[in-house]
Amino acid sequence: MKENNFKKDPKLLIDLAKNGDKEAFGVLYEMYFVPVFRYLFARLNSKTETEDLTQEVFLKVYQNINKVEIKDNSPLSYFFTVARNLLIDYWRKKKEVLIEKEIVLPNYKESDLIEQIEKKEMGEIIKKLIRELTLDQQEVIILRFINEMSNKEIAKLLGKREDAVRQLQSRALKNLREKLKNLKIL
Amino acid sequence: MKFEKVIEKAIELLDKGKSIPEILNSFPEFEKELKEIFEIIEILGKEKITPNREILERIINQIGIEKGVTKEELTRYLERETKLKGRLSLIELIKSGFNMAEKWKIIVPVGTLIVLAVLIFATQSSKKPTEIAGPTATPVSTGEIARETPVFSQETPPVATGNIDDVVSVVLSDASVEVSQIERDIQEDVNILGIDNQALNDFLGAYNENEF
Repeated sequence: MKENNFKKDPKLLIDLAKNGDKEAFGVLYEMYFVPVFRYLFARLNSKTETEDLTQEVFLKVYQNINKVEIKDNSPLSYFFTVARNLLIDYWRKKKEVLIEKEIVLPNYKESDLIEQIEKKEMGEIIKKLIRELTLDQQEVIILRFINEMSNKEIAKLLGKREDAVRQLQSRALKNLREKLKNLKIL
Repeated sequence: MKFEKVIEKAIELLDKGKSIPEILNSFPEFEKELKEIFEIIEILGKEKITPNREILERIINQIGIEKGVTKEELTRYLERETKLKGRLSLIELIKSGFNMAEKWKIIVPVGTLIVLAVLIFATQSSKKPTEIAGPTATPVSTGEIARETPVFSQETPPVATGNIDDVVSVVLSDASVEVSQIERDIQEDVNILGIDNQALNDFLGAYNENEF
């Protein structure tokens, strides 16, 4: 790919990639790596596994690039669909991982718990707690607040109505808050 | 208003560009709870991830030409696959059992049992030793000829020493066994002849020609 002004046009990038333009595929990678990685990482919480699965997502997209139909100029939903399917497949194979482990908190004194837990640790705990939510709630929370997608985009991706997505995200946030309260973190 | 609905409204306002203090002021009765919700949202958005060039290189290498996978990655991949496949086989087997149609749930175990029974029977019958009839005590009634099944002495074969004297003694001992066997056979024949004579005499004694 030689002309830089095409770099932000995903549809063109897909077309170029279809014709074997690896550079165009590289640009697509840079555009969609972060959302795909974030989405997978929030569900897996293992960097190594997330890297492997992200790689599989891009390989799968490339292998099927001739079948990719880009509607409304955004291949993001296609990337997410591939990621979701791979994730489902991965979990199906690795069912026992879904058995949630008990969250082990650092051995802090209750009085100065909030002061000692740094935001990063809290982030880790929240990510673990997300996996205790229903699958629908998990997806909505990850896509909305980790991947920073709009409710409209999420609704389209998940095949739900926007008000259903809004309801799911507020219920998920409420549940997360309750769980953090129970752990005396909030 | 329910707290869930408040969260929904608060996020809607946030999307519209309202600041957090403004939103908190809009819902004074839920100020504390909403503050905590915004804290959670803030933490969730903190994840900073940058595209990993190494992964891109690996993907590019795998596209078209199947190379460029690092040894570490390959090992990791193979380990993961083996682990997953290992776990899978038994799970899938059990799962397929549950997914069977009703008739197969009966046919498969019954068939398996039949095959096992046939195999066990075949194994047992092939292992069964050939029974050699030993000397049996046959009840001897009057006039009946009791024939004793010849029993050959089961001597342990001599050990091959290579000595000529040993070889000669083995040959002689074999010959003496044969001679004694022949003697026994002759004696038996004589006995049979004696018994036959006796039986004939008895018959002639009992037979009265004039009766007929």
